[in-house]
Amino acid sequence: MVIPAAVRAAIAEHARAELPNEACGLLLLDGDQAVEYVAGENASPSPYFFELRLDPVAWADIGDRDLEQAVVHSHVSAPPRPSRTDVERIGLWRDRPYVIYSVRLDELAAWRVSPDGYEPLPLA
Amino acid sequence: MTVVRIPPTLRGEVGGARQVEATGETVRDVLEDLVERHPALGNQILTNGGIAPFVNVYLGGEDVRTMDGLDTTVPDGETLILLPAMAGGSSQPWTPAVARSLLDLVGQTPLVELPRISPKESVTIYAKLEGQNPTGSIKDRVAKAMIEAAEASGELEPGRALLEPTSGNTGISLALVAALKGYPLTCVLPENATEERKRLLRLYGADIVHSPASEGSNGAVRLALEMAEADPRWFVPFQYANEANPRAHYEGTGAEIATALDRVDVLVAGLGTGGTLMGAGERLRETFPDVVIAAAEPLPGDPVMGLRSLDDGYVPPILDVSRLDRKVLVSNEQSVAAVRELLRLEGILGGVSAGAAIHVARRLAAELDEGVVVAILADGGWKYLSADFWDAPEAGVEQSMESTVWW
Repeated sequence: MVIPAAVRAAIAEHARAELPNEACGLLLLDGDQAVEYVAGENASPSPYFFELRLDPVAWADIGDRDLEQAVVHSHVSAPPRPSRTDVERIGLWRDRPYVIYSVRLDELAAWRVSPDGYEPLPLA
Repeated sequence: MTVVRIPPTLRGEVGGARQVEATGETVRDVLEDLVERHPALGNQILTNGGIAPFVNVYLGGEDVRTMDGLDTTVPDGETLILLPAMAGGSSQPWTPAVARSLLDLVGQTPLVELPRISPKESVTIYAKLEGQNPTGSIKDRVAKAMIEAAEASGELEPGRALLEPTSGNTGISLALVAALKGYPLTCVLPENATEERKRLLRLYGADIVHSPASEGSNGAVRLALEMAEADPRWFVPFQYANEANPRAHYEGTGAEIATALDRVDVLVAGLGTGGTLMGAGERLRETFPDVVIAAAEPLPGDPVMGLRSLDDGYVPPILDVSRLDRKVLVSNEQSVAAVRELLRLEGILGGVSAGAAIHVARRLAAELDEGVVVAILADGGWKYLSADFWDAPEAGVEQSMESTVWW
Protein backbone atom coordinates (compact mmCIF):
# COMPACT_ATOMS: atom_id res chain seq x y z
CA MET A 1 0.00 0.00 0.00
CA VAL A 2 1.28 3.45 -0.91
CA ILE A 3 0.06 6.39 1.18
CA PRO A 4 1.23 9.72 -0.31
CA ALA A 5 2.44 12.39 2.12
CA ALA A 6 -0.63 14.61 1.65
CA VAL A 7 -3.03 11.76 2.48
CA ARG A 8 -0.93 10.73 5.46
CA ALA A 9 -0.96 14.35 6.66
CA ALA A 10 -4.76 14.44 6.38
CA ILE A 11 -5.05 11.35 8.59
CA ALA A 12 -2.58 12.75 11.15
CA GLU A 13 -4.30 16.14 11.21
CA HIS A 14 -7.73 14.58 11.78
CA ALA A 15 -6.34 12.34 14.54
CA ARG A 16 -4.79 15.33 16.33
CA ALA A 17 -7.95 17.38 15.93
CA GLU A 18 -9.98 14.66 17.64
CA LEU A 19 -7.72 14.45 20.71
CA PRO A 20 -8.23 13.38 23.43
CA ASN A 21 -10.42 10.87 21.61
CA GLU A 22 -9.68 8.42 18.84
CA ALA A 23 -10.45 9.52 15.29
CA CYS A 24 -11.74 7.33 12.46
CA GLY A 25 -12.45 7.48 8.77
CA LEU A 26 -12.03 5.77 5.44
CA LEU A 27 -9.05 5.64 3.16
CA LEU A 28 -9.86 5.24 -0.54
CA LEU A 29 -7.38 3.28 -2.62
CA ASP A 30 -6.92 3.04 -6.37
CA GLY A 31 -5.17 -0.31 -6.60
CA ASP A 32 -2.56 -0.07 -3.87
CA GLN A 33 -2.39 3.72 -4.11
CA ALA A 34 -4.22 5.71 -1.43
CA VAL A 35 -5.99 8.60 -3.15
CA GLU A 36 -8.22 10.17 -0.51
CA TYR A 37 -8.93 10.18 3.21
CA VAL A 38 -12.57 10.65 4.19
CA ALA A 39 -12.79 11.79 7.80
CA GLY A 40 -15.56 10.05 9.72
CA GLU A 41 -17.21 10.80 13.02
CA ASN A 42 -16.43 8.78 16.14
CA ALA A 43 -19.93 7.88 17.32
CA SER A 44 -18.54 6.66 20.68
CA PRO A 45 -16.07 9.42 21.46
CA SER A 46 -13.39 8.00 23.75
CA PRO A 47 -9.60 7.96 24.01
CA TYR A 48 -9.77 4.16 23.80
CA PHE A 49 -12.60 3.38 21.42
CA PHE A 50 -14.06 4.31 18.08
CA GLU A 51 -17.27 3.62 16.23
CA LEU A 52 -17.12 4.79 12.63
CA ARG A 53 -20.02 6.93 11.47
CA LEU A 54 -20.26 8.27 7.93
CA ASP A 55 -23.23 9.51 5.99
CA PRO A 56 -24.71 6.17 4.85
CA VAL A 57 -25.65 7.33 1.37
CA ALA A 58 -22.20 8.84 0.84
CA TRP A 59 -20.54 5.63 2.08
CA ALA A 60 -22.75 3.46 -0.13
CA ASP A 61 -21.85 5.71 -3.09
CA ILE A 62 -18.16 5.29 -2.30
CA GLY A 63 -18.77 1.54 -2.38
CA ASP A 64 -20.08 1.87 -5.92
CA ARG A 65 -16.88 3.53 -7.14
CA ASP A 66 -14.11 1.23 -8.32
CA LEU A 67 -12.00 1.92 -5.29
CA GLU A 68 -10.74 -0.25 -2.49
CA GLN A 69 -11.47 1.02 1.02
CA ALA A 70 -9.44 0.86 4.20
CA VAL A 71 -10.94 1.61 7.60
CA VAL A 72 -8.69 4.03 9.48
CA HIS A 73 -8.60 4.87 13.16
CA SER A 74 -6.18 6.45 15.57
CA HIS A 75 -4.67 5.19 18.78
CA VAL A 76 -3.99 8.13 21.04
CA SER A 77 -0.90 6.70 22.70
CA ALA A 78 -0.73 2.96 21.93
CA PRO A 79 1.41 1.78 19.01
CA PRO A 80 -0.39 1.47 15.65
CA ARG A 81 -1.00 -2.27 16.12
CA PRO A 82 -4.47 -3.85 16.20
CA SER A 83 -5.64 -4.12 19.80
CA ARG A 84 -7.69 -6.98 21.18
CA THR A 85 -10.79 -4.85 20.65
CA ASP A 86 -9.81 -4.13 17.04
CA VAL A 87 -9.51 -7.88 16.42
CA GLU A 88 -12.74 -8.74 18.24
CA ARG A 89 -14.69 -6.08 16.40
CA ILE A 90 -13.27 -6.59 12.92
CA GLY A 91 -16.58 -8.13 11.77
CA LEU A 92 -17.26 -7.66 8.06
CA TRP A 93 -13.89 -5.98 7.59
CA ARG A 94 -11.97 -9.21 8.05
CA ASP A 95 -8.95 -9.54 5.75
CA ARG A 96 -9.51 -6.07 4.32
CA PRO A 97 -7.08 -3.17 4.51
CA TYR A 98 -7.09 -1.68 7.99
CA VAL A 99 -4.97 1.34 8.89
CA ILE A 100 -4.03 2.59 12.36
CA TYR A 101 -2.32 5.87 13.17
CA SER A 102 -0.62 6.37 16.55
CA VAL A 103 -0.80 10.02 17.52
CA ARG A 104 1.84 9.78 20.22
CA LEU A 105 4.35 7.99 18.01
CA ASP A 106 3.28 9.73 14.76
CA GLU A 107 3.37 6.29 13.12
CA LEU A 108 1.04 4.84 10.54
CA ALA A 109 0.70 1.11 9.89
CA ALA A 110 -1.55 -1.02 7.69
CA TRP A 111 -2.87 -4.50 8.49
CA ARG A 112 -5.19 -7.25 7.43
CA VAL A 113 -7.13 -8.30 10.50
CA SER A 114 -9.21 -11.42 11.02
CA PRO A 115 -10.90 -12.74 14.14
CA ASP A 116 -7.86 -15.01 14.58
CA GLY A 117 -5.19 -12.32 14.41
CA TYR A 118 -3.57 -9.91 12.02
CA GLU A 119 -0.83 -9.55 9.43
CA PRO A 120 1.07 -6.44 8.45
CA LEU A 121 0.36 -4.88 5.10
CA PRO A 122 3.64 -3.31 3.93
CA LEU A 123 3.51 0.44 3.45
CA ALA A 124 5.68 1.88 0.70
CA MET B 1 -40.05 -4.20 -4.17
CA THR B 2 -37.15 -2.75 -2.20
CA VAL B 3 -33.67 -2.05 -3.48
CA VAL B 4 -30.95 -3.14 -1.05
CA ARG B 5 -27.53 -1.57 -1.54
CA ILE B 6 -24.79 -4.08 -0.72
CA PRO B 7 -21.38 -2.98 0.59
CA PRO B 8 -18.28 -4.37 -1.15
CA THR B 9 -17.62 -6.50 1.95
CA LEU B 10 -20.78 -8.56 1.25
CA ARG B 11 -20.87 -8.58 -2.54
CA GLY B 12 -19.17 -11.95 -2.77
CA GLU B 13 -22.28 -13.42 -1.15
CA VAL B 14 -24.66 -11.87 -3.70
CA GLY B 15 -22.80 -12.71 -6.90
CA GLY B 16 -20.89 -9.43 -6.96
CA ALA B 17 -23.97 -7.22 -7.29
CA ARG B 18 -23.88 -3.64 -5.98
CA GLN B 19 -27.55 -3.76 -5.23
CA VAL B 20 -30.19 -6.46 -5.16
CA GLU B 21 -33.94 -6.56 -4.77
CA ALA B 22 -36.05 -8.03 -1.99
CA THR B 23 -39.62 -7.67 -0.85
CA GLY B 24 -41.34 -7.17 2.45
CA GLU B 25 -43.35 -4.72 4.50
CA THR B 26 -40.90 -4.30 7.34
CA VAL B 27 -37.12 -4.23 7.55
CA ARG B 28 -37.31 -7.75 9.01
CA ASP B 29 -39.36 -9.06 6.08
CA VAL B 30 -37.06 -7.46 3.52
CA LEU B 31 -33.90 -8.79 5.19
CA GLU B 32 -35.34 -12.28 5.62
CA ASP B 33 -36.31 -12.29 1.95
CA LEU B 34 -32.82 -11.04 1.08
CA VAL B 35 -31.16 -13.88 2.96
CA GLU B 36 -33.55 -16.38 1.42
CA ARG B 37 -32.62 -15.20 -2.06
CA HIS B 38 -28.91 -15.12 -1.23
CA PRO B 39 -28.30 -17.92 1.27
CA ALA B 40 -24.55 -17.24 1.20
CA LEU B 41 -25.25 -14.19 3.38
CA GLY B 42 -25.96 -16.71 6.13
CA ASN B 43 -26.15 -15.06 9.54
CA GLN B 44 -24.14 -11.99 8.58
CA ILE B 45 -27.31 -9.88 8.33
CA LEU B 46 -29.66 -11.41 10.91
CA THR B 47 -28.69 -13.32 14.02
CA ASN B 48 -30.85 -14.54 16.89
CA GLY B 49 -33.83 -12.63 15.57
CA GLY B 50 -31.96 -9.31 15.48
CA ILE B 51 -29.68 -7.34 13.22
CA ALA B 52 -26.24 -8.98 13.18
CA PRO B 53 -23.63 -7.16 15.29
CA PHE B 54 -21.32 -6.17 12.47
CA VAL B 55 -23.83 -4.68 10.07
CA ASN B 56 -25.78 -1.43 10.10
CA VAL B 57 -29.05 -1.10 8.23
CA TYR B 58 -30.23 2.31 7.02
CA LEU B 59 -33.60 3.36 5.65
CA GLY B 60 -33.88 6.82 4.16
CA GLY B 61 -30.38 7.55 5.42
CA GLU B 62 -31.28 6.71 9.01
CA ASP B 63 -30.09 3.81 11.14
CA VAL B 64 -33.13 1.56 11.63
CA ARG B 65 -31.93 0.86 15.18
CA THR B 66 -32.90 4.46 15.97
CA MET B 67 -36.36 3.85 14.46
CA ASP B 68 -38.41 0.75 15.15
CA GLY B 69 -35.54 -1.61 14.43
CA LEU B 70 -36.55 -4.65 12.42
CA ASP B 71 -40.20 -3.67 12.79
CA THR B 72 -39.67 -0.41 10.90
CA THR B 73 -42.04 -0.21 7.95
CA VAL B 74 -40.36 -0.03 4.54
CA PRO B 75 -42.35 2.16 2.16
CA ASP B 76 -42.52 0.77 -1.36
CA GLY B 77 -39.75 2.06 -3.58
CA GLU B 78 -37.53 3.02 -0.62
CA THR B 79 -33.90 1.89 -0.60
CA LEU B 80 -32.27 -0.03 2.22
CA ILE B 81 -28.54 0.47 2.69
CA LEU B 82 -26.36 -2.17 4.35
CA LEU B 83 -22.98 -1.04 5.66
CA PRO B 84 -20.30 -2.59 7.85
CA ALA B 85 -20.57 -1.59 11.52
CA MET B 86 -16.97 -0.70 12.26
CA ALA B 87 -15.77 -0.26 15.80
CA GLY B 88 -12.59 -0.91 17.70
CA GLY B 89 -9.93 1.13 19.38
CA SER B 90 -6.87 0.79 21.53
CA SER B 91 -9.29 -0.36 24.28
CA GLN B 92 -6.84 -0.15 27.13
CA PRO B 93 -4.87 2.81 28.28
CA TRP B 94 -1.50 1.80 27.03
CA THR B 95 1.44 1.78 29.38
CA PRO B 96 4.79 0.89 27.91
CA ALA B 97 6.68 -1.90 29.66
CA VAL B 98 9.57 0.50 29.97
CA ALA B 99 8.79 4.21 30.24
CA ARG B 100 11.01 6.70 28.45
CA SER B 101 10.45 9.30 31.14
CA LEU B 102 8.80 9.52 34.52
CA LEU B 103 6.45 12.01 32.87
CA ASP B 104 5.02 9.15 30.79
CA LEU B 105 3.88 7.57 34.05
CA VAL B 106 1.66 10.47 35.08
CA GLY B 107 -2.00 9.44 35.20
CA GLN B 108 -3.61 6.04 34.47
CA THR B 109 -4.06 5.63 38.20
CA PRO B 110 -5.95 2.61 39.56
CA LEU B 111 -9.54 2.48 40.74
CA VAL B 112 -10.20 0.25 43.72
CA GLU B 113 -13.47 -0.83 45.27
CA LEU B 114 -14.03 0.05 48.95
CA PRO B 115 -16.53 -2.55 50.18
CA ARG B 116 -15.86 -1.91 53.86
CA ILE B 117 -16.25 1.85 53.54
CA SER B 118 -19.53 1.62 51.65
CA PRO B 119 -22.53 2.02 53.97
CA LYS B 120 -24.66 -0.46 52.02
CA GLU B 121 -24.09 -3.43 49.78
CA SER B 122 -26.16 -2.06 46.92
CA VAL B 123 -23.90 0.98 46.56
CA THR B 124 -20.35 0.50 45.32
CA ILE B 125 -17.74 3.08 46.24
CA TYR B 126 -14.58 3.25 44.15
CA ALA B 127 -11.50 5.23 45.05
CA LYS B 128 -9.23 6.63 42.37
CA LEU B 129 -5.77 6.45 43.85
CA GLU B 130 -4.05 9.60 42.67
CA GLY B 131 -1.34 9.01 45.24
CA GLN B 132 0.12 6.55 42.75
CA ASN B 133 1.34 9.32 40.45
CA PRO B 134 5.15 9.79 40.25
CA THR B 135 5.42 12.38 43.05
CA GLY B 136 2.49 10.90 44.94
CA SER B 137 -0.34 13.26 44.10
CA ILE B 138 -2.94 14.24 41.53
CA LYS B 139 -1.01 17.47 40.92
CA ASP B 140 1.44 15.64 38.65
CA ARG B 141 -1.31 15.70 36.02
CA VAL B 142 -1.83 19.42 36.45
CA ALA B 143 1.86 20.37 36.52
CA LYS B 144 2.64 18.35 33.40
CA ALA B 145 -0.38 19.72 31.55
CA MET B 146 0.29 23.36 32.49
CA ILE B 147 3.94 23.25 31.46
CA GLU B 148 3.31 21.35 28.23
CA ALA B 149 0.47 23.71 27.29
CA ALA B 150 2.73 26.71 27.87
CA GLU B 151 5.47 25.11 25.78
CA ALA B 152 3.02 24.36 22.99
CA SER B 153 1.69 27.92 22.94
CA GLY B 154 5.21 29.34 22.89
CA GLU B 155 4.68 31.13 26.20
CA LEU B 156 7.32 29.03 27.91
CA GLU B 157 10.69 28.84 26.24
CA PRO B 158 14.14 27.76 27.35
CA GLY B 159 15.67 30.51 29.44
CA ARG B 160 12.53 31.35 31.36
CA ALA B 161 12.03 30.34 34.96
CA LEU B 162 8.92 29.06 36.72
CA LEU B 163 7.38 30.73 39.74
CA GLU B 164 4.38 29.34 41.63
CA PRO B 165 2.82 30.23 44.98
CA THR B 166 2.46 26.82 46.61
CA SER B 167 3.76 24.91 49.54
CA GLY B 168 1.75 21.88 48.60
CA ASN B 169 1.63 19.09 46.12
CA THR B 170 1.58 21.39 43.09
CA GLY B 171 5.02 22.68 44.04
CA ILE B 172 6.45 19.20 44.26
CA SER B 173 4.85 18.19 40.95
CA LEU B 174 6.05 21.35 39.22
CA ALA B 175 9.51 20.75 40.64
CA LEU B 176 9.63 17.31 39.06
CA VAL B 177 8.37 18.46 35.66
CA ALA B 178 10.59 21.55 35.70
CA ALA B 179 13.66 19.50 36.60
CA LEU B 180 13.08 16.96 33.83
CA LYS B 181 12.43 19.67 31.27
CA GLY B 182 15.27 21.93 32.38
CA TYR B 183 13.49 24.97 33.82
CA PRO B 184 14.44 26.48 37.17
CA LEU B 185 11.50 26.67 39.62
CA THR B 186 10.92 28.96 42.56
CA CYS B 187 8.07 28.31 44.97
CA VAL B 188 6.62 31.05 47.15
CA LEU B 189 5.31 29.68 50.43
CA PRO B 190 4.30 30.99 53.82
CA GLU B 191 7.17 31.08 56.25
CA ASN B 192 5.43 28.71 58.65
CA ALA B 193 4.97 25.88 56.11
CA THR B 194 6.33 22.65 57.54
CA GLU B 195 10.02 21.89 57.36
CA GLU B 196 9.04 18.59 55.72
CA ARG B 197 7.50 20.50 52.81
CA LYS B 198 10.42 22.86 52.37
CA ARG B 199 12.88 20.00 52.45
CA LEU B 200 10.93 18.03 49.86
CA LEU B 201 10.75 21.02 47.52
CA ARG B 202 14.46 21.69 47.90
CA LEU B 203 15.28 18.04 47.27
CA TYR B 204 13.32 18.13 44.04
CA GLY B 205 15.41 21.14 43.04
CA ALA B 206 13.10 24.08 43.73
CA ASP B 207 14.21 27.40 45.22
CA ILE B 208 12.11 28.79 48.02
CA VAL B 209 10.94 32.34 48.72
CA HIS B 210 9.07 32.95 51.96
CA SER B 211 5.95 35.05 52.33
CA PRO B 212 4.80 36.32 55.74
CA ALA B 213 3.28 33.60 57.90
CA SER B 214 0.52 35.94 58.99
CA GLU B 215 -0.83 36.29 55.43
CA GLY B 216 -1.28 32.54 54.86
CA SER B 217 -1.51 31.15 51.35
CA ASN B 218 -3.13 34.33 50.00
CA GLY B 219 0.08 36.12 50.98
CA ALA B 220 2.11 33.66 48.90
CA VAL B 221 -0.13 34.35 45.91
CA ARG B 222 0.24 38.12 46.38
CA LEU B 223 4.03 37.95 46.60
CA ALA B 224 4.39 35.62 43.60
CA LEU B 225 2.26 37.86 41.41
CA GLU B 226 4.26 40.93 42.53
CA MET B 227 7.52 39.20 41.68
CA ALA B 228 6.22 38.18 38.25
CA GLU B 229 5.12 41.73 37.54
CA ALA B 230 8.55 43.10 38.41
CA ASP B 231 10.52 40.60 36.33
CA PRO B 232 9.18 39.24 33.01
CA ARG B 233 11.63 36.34 33.15
CA TRP B 234 9.21 34.55 35.45
CA PHE B 235 6.51 32.35 34.04
CA VAL B 236 3.75 31.71 36.58
CA PRO B 237 1.62 28.66 35.67
CA PHE B 238 -0.88 29.69 38.38
CA GLN B 239 -3.04 26.62 38.68
CA TYR B 240 -6.07 28.54 39.98
CA ALA B 241 -6.54 30.31 36.66
CA ASN B 242 -4.85 27.95 34.20
CA GLU B 243 -7.26 26.21 31.80
CA ALA B 244 -4.74 23.38 31.37
CA ASN B 245 -5.63 22.36 34.94
CA PRO B 246 -9.26 21.31 34.31
CA ARG B 247 -8.27 20.06 30.86
CA ALA B 248 -5.80 17.61 32.42
CA HIS B 249 -8.69 16.20 34.41
CA TYR B 250 -11.07 16.19 31.45
CA GLU B 251 -8.61 14.32 29.24
CA GLY B 252 -7.07 12.22 31.98
CA THR B 253 -8.80 11.67 35.31
CA GLY B 254 -12.35 11.90 33.94
CA ALA B 255 -11.71 9.96 30.73
CA GLU B 256 -10.02 7.18 32.69
CA ILE B 257 -13.04 6.80 34.98
CA ALA B 258 -15.48 6.94 32.05
CA THR B 259 -13.56 4.18 30.30
CA ALA B 260 -13.16 1.97 33.35
CA LEU B 261 -16.73 1.99 34.65
CA ASP B 262 -20.09 1.24 33.09
CA ARG B 263 -21.96 3.38 35.56
CA VAL B 264 -21.18 6.40 37.73
CA ASP B 265 -23.91 8.06 39.80
CA VAL B 266 -21.80 10.34 41.96
CA LEU B 267 -18.31 11.79 41.59
CA VAL B 268 -16.72 13.21 44.73
CA ALA B 269 -13.56 15.27 44.82
CA GLY B 270 -12.14 17.81 47.19
CA LEU B 271 -12.59 21.47 46.34
CA GLY B 272 -9.13 22.98 45.94
CA THR B 273 -8.55 24.81 42.68
CA GLY B 274 -11.71 23.27 41.27
CA GLY B 275 -9.71 21.69 38.42
CA THR B 276 -10.63 18.08 39.23
CA LEU B 277 -14.32 18.81 39.75
CA MET B 278 -14.61 20.93 36.59
CA GLY B 279 -12.57 18.74 34.24
CA ALA B 280 -13.40 15.22 35.41
CA GLY B 281 -17.00 16.30 36.09
CA GLU B 282 -17.43 17.61 32.55
CA ARG B 283 -16.00 14.45 31.04
CA LEU B 284 -18.17 12.16 33.17
CA ARG B 285 -21.30 14.14 32.30
CA GLU B 286 -20.68 13.34 28.64
CA THR B 287 -20.82 9.61 29.33
CA PHE B 288 -23.19 9.61 32.31
CA PRO B 289 -25.52 12.60 31.81
CA ASP B 290 -27.19 12.19 35.21
CA VAL B 291 -24.00 11.95 37.26
CA VAL B 292 -23.94 14.11 40.39
CA ILE B 293 -20.73 16.12 40.72
CA ALA B 294 -20.11 16.65 44.42
CA ALA B 295 -17.49 18.87 46.04
CA ALA B 296 -16.09 18.17 49.47
CA GLU B 297 -15.68 21.67 50.88
CA PRO B 298 -14.15 22.51 54.24
CA LEU B 299 -16.24 24.29 56.84
CA PRO B 300 -15.53 28.04 56.76
CA GLY B 301 -12.84 28.85 59.27
CA ASP B 302 -11.93 25.18 59.65
CA PRO B 303 -9.37 24.59 56.90
CA VAL B 304 -8.85 21.05 55.70
CA MET B 305 -5.37 20.64 54.27
CA GLY B 306 -5.42 20.95 50.52
CA LEU B 307 -8.98 22.15 50.33
CA ARG B 308 -10.45 25.60 50.02
CA SER B 309 -13.56 27.14 51.44
CA LEU B 310 -15.30 29.44 48.98
CA ASP B 311 -16.41 31.51 51.95
CA ASP B 312 -12.80 32.51 52.50
CA GLY B 313 -13.28 35.03 49.73
CA TYR B 314 -11.29 33.64 46.82
CA VAL B 315 -13.08 31.81 44.02
CA PRO B 316 -10.55 30.34 41.56
CA PRO B 317 -11.23 31.63 38.04
CA ILE B 318 -11.33 28.09 36.64
CA LEU B 319 -14.12 27.15 39.07
CA ASP B 320 -17.69 27.57 37.85
CA VAL B 321 -19.73 26.89 40.97
CA SER B 322 -22.88 26.43 38.87
CA ARG B 323 -21.32 23.23 37.45
CA LEU B 324 -21.28 21.63 40.90
CA ASP B 325 -24.39 19.63 41.74
CA ARG B 326 -23.59 19.30 45.42
CA LYS B 327 -21.30 20.96 47.91
CA VAL B 328 -20.91 19.07 51.14
CA LEU B 329 -19.18 20.78 54.03
CA VAL B 330 -16.66 18.67 55.91
CA SER B 331 -14.95 19.46 59.16
CA ASN B 332 -11.35 18.72 59.85
CA GLU B 333 -12.37 16.24 62.47
CA GLN B 334 -14.60 14.35 60.03
CA SER B 335 -11.82 14.31 57.42
CA VAL B 336 -9.30 12.95 59.84
CA ALA B 337 -11.72 10.36 61.20
CA ALA B 338 -12.42 9.20 57.64
CA VAL B 339 -8.77 9.02 56.65
CA ARG B 340 -8.01 6.92 59.70
CA GLU B 341 -10.93 4.66 58.95
CA LEU B 342 -9.86 4.33 55.31
CA LEU B 343 -6.51 3.02 56.51
CA ARG B 344 -8.00 0.72 59.14
CA LEU B 345 -10.74 -0.78 56.93
CA GLU B 346 -9.29 -0.75 53.44
CA GLY B 347 -5.54 -0.44 53.98
CA ILE B 348 -5.26 2.83 52.09
CA LEU B 349 -3.02 5.51 53.57
CA GLY B 350 -4.61 8.68 52.20
CA GLY B 351 -3.97 12.36 52.73
CA VAL B 352 -6.35 14.51 54.74
CA SER B 353 -8.26 15.75 51.70
CA ALA B 354 -8.77 12.09 50.73
CA GLY B 355 -10.46 11.70 54.10
CA ALA B 356 -12.77 14.59 53.25
CA ALA B 357 -13.65 12.97 49.92
CA ILE B 358 -14.31 9.62 51.62
CA HIS B 359 -16.50 11.25 54.24
CA VAL B 360 -18.63 12.88 51.53
CA ALA B 361 -18.67 9.73 49.37
CA ARG B 362 -20.06 7.72 52.28
CA ARG B 363 -22.69 10.32 53.04
CA LEU B 364 -23.90 10.50 49.45
CA ALA B 365 -23.74 6.70 49.10
CA ALA B 366 -26.08 6.46 52.08
CA GLU B 367 -28.60 8.64 50.21
CA LEU B 368 -28.69 6.24 47.23
CA ASP B 369 -30.72 3.04 47.07
CA GLU B 370 -28.16 1.58 44.71
CA GLY B 371 -25.46 2.82 42.42
CA VAL B 372 -21.82 3.71 41.99
CA VAL B 373 -19.89 6.47 43.76
CA VAL B 374 -16.37 7.42 42.74
CA ALA B 375 -14.16 9.32 45.18
CA ILE B 376 -10.94 10.86 43.94
CA LEU B 377 -8.22 10.54 46.56
CA ALA B 378 -5.80 13.33 45.70
CA ASP B 379 -2.76 12.00 47.53
CA GLY B 380 -1.38 9.52 50.02
CA GLY B 381 -0.71 10.14 53.68
CA TRP B 382 3.06 9.82 53.51
CA LYS B 383 3.70 13.55 53.42
CA TYR B 384 1.70 14.14 56.60
CA LEU B 385 3.31 11.62 58.88
CA SER B 386 4.69 14.23 61.26
CA ALA B 387 1.13 15.38 62.00
CA ASP B 388 -0.10 14.40 65.40
CA PHE B 389 -3.59 13.49 64.31
CA TRP B 390 -2.74 9.97 63.14
CA ASP B 391 -2.56 8.69 66.67
CA ALA B 392 -4.20 11.54 68.61
CA PRO B 393 -7.34 10.51 70.48
CA GLU B 394 -10.43 11.51 68.49
CA ALA B 395 -11.09 14.56 70.65
CA GLY B 396 -7.55 15.85 70.25
CA VAL B 397 -7.58 15.97 66.48
CA GLU B 398 -8.67 19.58 66.17
CA GLN B 399 -6.03 20.85 68.48
CA SER B 400 -3.30 18.80 66.87
CA MET B 401 -3.95 20.46 63.52
CA GLU B 402 -4.30 24.07 64.50
CA SER B 403 -0.69 24.90 65.09
CA THR B 404 0.66 24.45 61.56
CA VAL B 405 -0.08 25.75 58.11
CA TRP B 406 0.12 22.72 55.87
CA TRP B 407 -0.96 23.87 52.50
